Amino acid sequence: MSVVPKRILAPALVLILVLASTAPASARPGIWVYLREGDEWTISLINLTQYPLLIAENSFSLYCLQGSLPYRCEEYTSNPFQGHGALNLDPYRTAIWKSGDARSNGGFAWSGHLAVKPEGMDTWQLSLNTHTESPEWSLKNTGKGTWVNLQTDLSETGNPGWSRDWSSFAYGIWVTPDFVDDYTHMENVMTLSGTEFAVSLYSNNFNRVTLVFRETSWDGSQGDDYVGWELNFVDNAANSVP
Amino acid sequence: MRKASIRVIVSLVFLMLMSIAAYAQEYQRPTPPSGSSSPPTSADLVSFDGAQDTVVVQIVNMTPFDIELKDTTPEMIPPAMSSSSIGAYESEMTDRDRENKKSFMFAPVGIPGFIPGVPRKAFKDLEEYDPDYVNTDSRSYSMVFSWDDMGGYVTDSWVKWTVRDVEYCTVWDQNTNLCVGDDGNYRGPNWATRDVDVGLWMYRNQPNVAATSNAFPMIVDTLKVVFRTAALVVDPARVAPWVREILGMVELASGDAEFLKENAEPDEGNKMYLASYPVPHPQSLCVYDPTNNACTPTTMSQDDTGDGVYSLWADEWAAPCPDHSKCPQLSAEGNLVVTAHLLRGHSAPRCPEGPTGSDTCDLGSVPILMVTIMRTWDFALSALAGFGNFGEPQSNALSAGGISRMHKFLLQAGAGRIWARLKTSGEPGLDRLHFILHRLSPEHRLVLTDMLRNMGSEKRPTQKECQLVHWIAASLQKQLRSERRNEPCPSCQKGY
Repeated sequence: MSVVPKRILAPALVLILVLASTAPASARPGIWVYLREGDEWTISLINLTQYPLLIAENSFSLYCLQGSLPYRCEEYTSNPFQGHGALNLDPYRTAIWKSGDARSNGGFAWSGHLAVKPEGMDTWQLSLNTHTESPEWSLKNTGKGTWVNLQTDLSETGNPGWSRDWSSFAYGIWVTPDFVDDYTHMENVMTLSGTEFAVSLYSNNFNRVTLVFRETSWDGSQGDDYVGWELNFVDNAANSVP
Repeated sequence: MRKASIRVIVSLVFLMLMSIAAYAQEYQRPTPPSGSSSPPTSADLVSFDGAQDTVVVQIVNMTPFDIELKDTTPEMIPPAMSSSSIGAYESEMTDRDRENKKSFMFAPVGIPGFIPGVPRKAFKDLEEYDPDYVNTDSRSYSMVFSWDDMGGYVTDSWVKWTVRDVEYCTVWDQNTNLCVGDDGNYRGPNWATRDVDVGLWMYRNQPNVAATSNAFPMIVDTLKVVFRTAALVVDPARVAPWVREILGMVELASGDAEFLKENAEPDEGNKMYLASYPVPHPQSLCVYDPTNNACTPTTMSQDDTGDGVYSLWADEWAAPCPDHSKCPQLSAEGNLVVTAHLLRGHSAPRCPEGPTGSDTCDLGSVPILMVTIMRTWDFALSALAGFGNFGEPQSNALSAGGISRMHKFLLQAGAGRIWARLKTSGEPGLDRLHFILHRLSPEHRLVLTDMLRNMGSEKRPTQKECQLVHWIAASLQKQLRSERRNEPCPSCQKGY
């Protein structure tokens, strides 16, 4: 039985892992979710508007580490809000979806998106996007993680109600810097602010992600009634960060 | 000898200065001993920080006074939103070094900086009253709080708002039962205003106590009357979404007993206390007590920290009283009541195992605290009238603890007569009761506020309390009879 020398094995493993990456390095600012054995992932929706909050689209594919026997990944969890494609979340109410148990190291990661909008407010639709991402390589960090971000059409043809004043206050609250331009920063909080709604995607431990829609009720003359602070922090010392 | 005298004088001066310094300090909440599960005050409700370490808060201003976030501008971090474990958390909020573990509370979609008062034309006791006005101006103000605990668990967080220009009468005429100078239609010169702070406290000390559910429906019943008083529509068929949510119409549709069972179910995350109540004046007797141990608001019960509570202060205890004697019986601080009721969240079960696409996962929910700020007399009306909606306690849960005691207390005091009149008279009866309560003398007000404070305890109503309730019931009957006979009502003022 032949033995592969260690000096060859390690670089080979690195090469394999790099080649196995299915997505480019984080092309948008986002939140890093990396599940280890026993972990679970939650996504919460908080509707602080007078409109029902609708899931307009729900499209995900689940990644799991090949060979994570005795389970095949598709046998032990569902996709976010699966079966809730027509979820109609009451005004001023909340909903939490929780994944199944991650059974293998780095065994869970999702690609896809959840499109959410207040009913009748199509131009204010937003997406919670996910894509699989390779973690920083180490013997512990195998498999994939999920990169989560907030996205809407912020081009010149997009809804002009959204503020484009990055790194600044808009309608009372802080808007995430550089929302459109590609950059590779990790975030804990991503916030958009507009004439009708303020929307924030945040996570405080990278297993839990929360999406909040708040009605702005901006009257156009006196400014918004809300006060915010510059929320621009990152707090994730995990060695899995890509 | 002379040196000794100087030392004594210096010591006395020092003690006086210390006393003045202590007296002028801001209100500090009592802090339970480390490791204790006791709530800081009886106004604190047990909740969970849930799967997301997140709490939703909705605030409703049912006063005619504007409310502003205390000491803040958008550019600065105010002392109003703070945490005991944070030194300079402005720098933490903007710290992009991911290796630096941080510890602070944050509000991702902001905090209401200005909550307008209900238009004065909504209130029947105010000169500006317009009987045709329907209130579509008011709304709830929603916010979300979350915590970054990576650098250490954040225990004590709070936000304060200031209720601007809270009105109160300074001199009462015992003979006319009016503020001196009032003529029944217009106010005289003896009305004053003062700002009063209202706090929202989130105390995450992970107490080892049961999360009981008992008072939510009762708070909702009182709020229905308060909302009517502020010209809001509470008819389920026409109600605004925010009113439906504050009144928990969907949740309570399955019946009080079923709701109370569900709202007592444990959630994920650590237990914590949530509280909101007016803040006593810095020069009040309450704050003068250097230990602050007794400086807690009055609530409906001293032994329940369930899912609903109302809080108020006795005027003499919370009003400015620099001389420590003859404290005012009428005050801005005593003219506010805050109710808080809590929809505890519930955990989402893990998605079931099985082929993807075949299952729909059950969903969970995030805790929601609903806070309503109102004038004391609007609340007194609501308590006297709204508790009658209960009739007999409807379930074992309702018959437990403070709620049952309150119902029993009011019945013993004679409130059954008031409820009977209101059931037959409807809205006009509420108008009359409102009128009667707004013209109570300071002495009667003291008796009534004592009642509001005592009715959740084991105490029986005093003779004075029984006499007052009987007098109110008799006055209500007399006025309703006059109205039915179309007789002139000499004591009725504009709007009634």
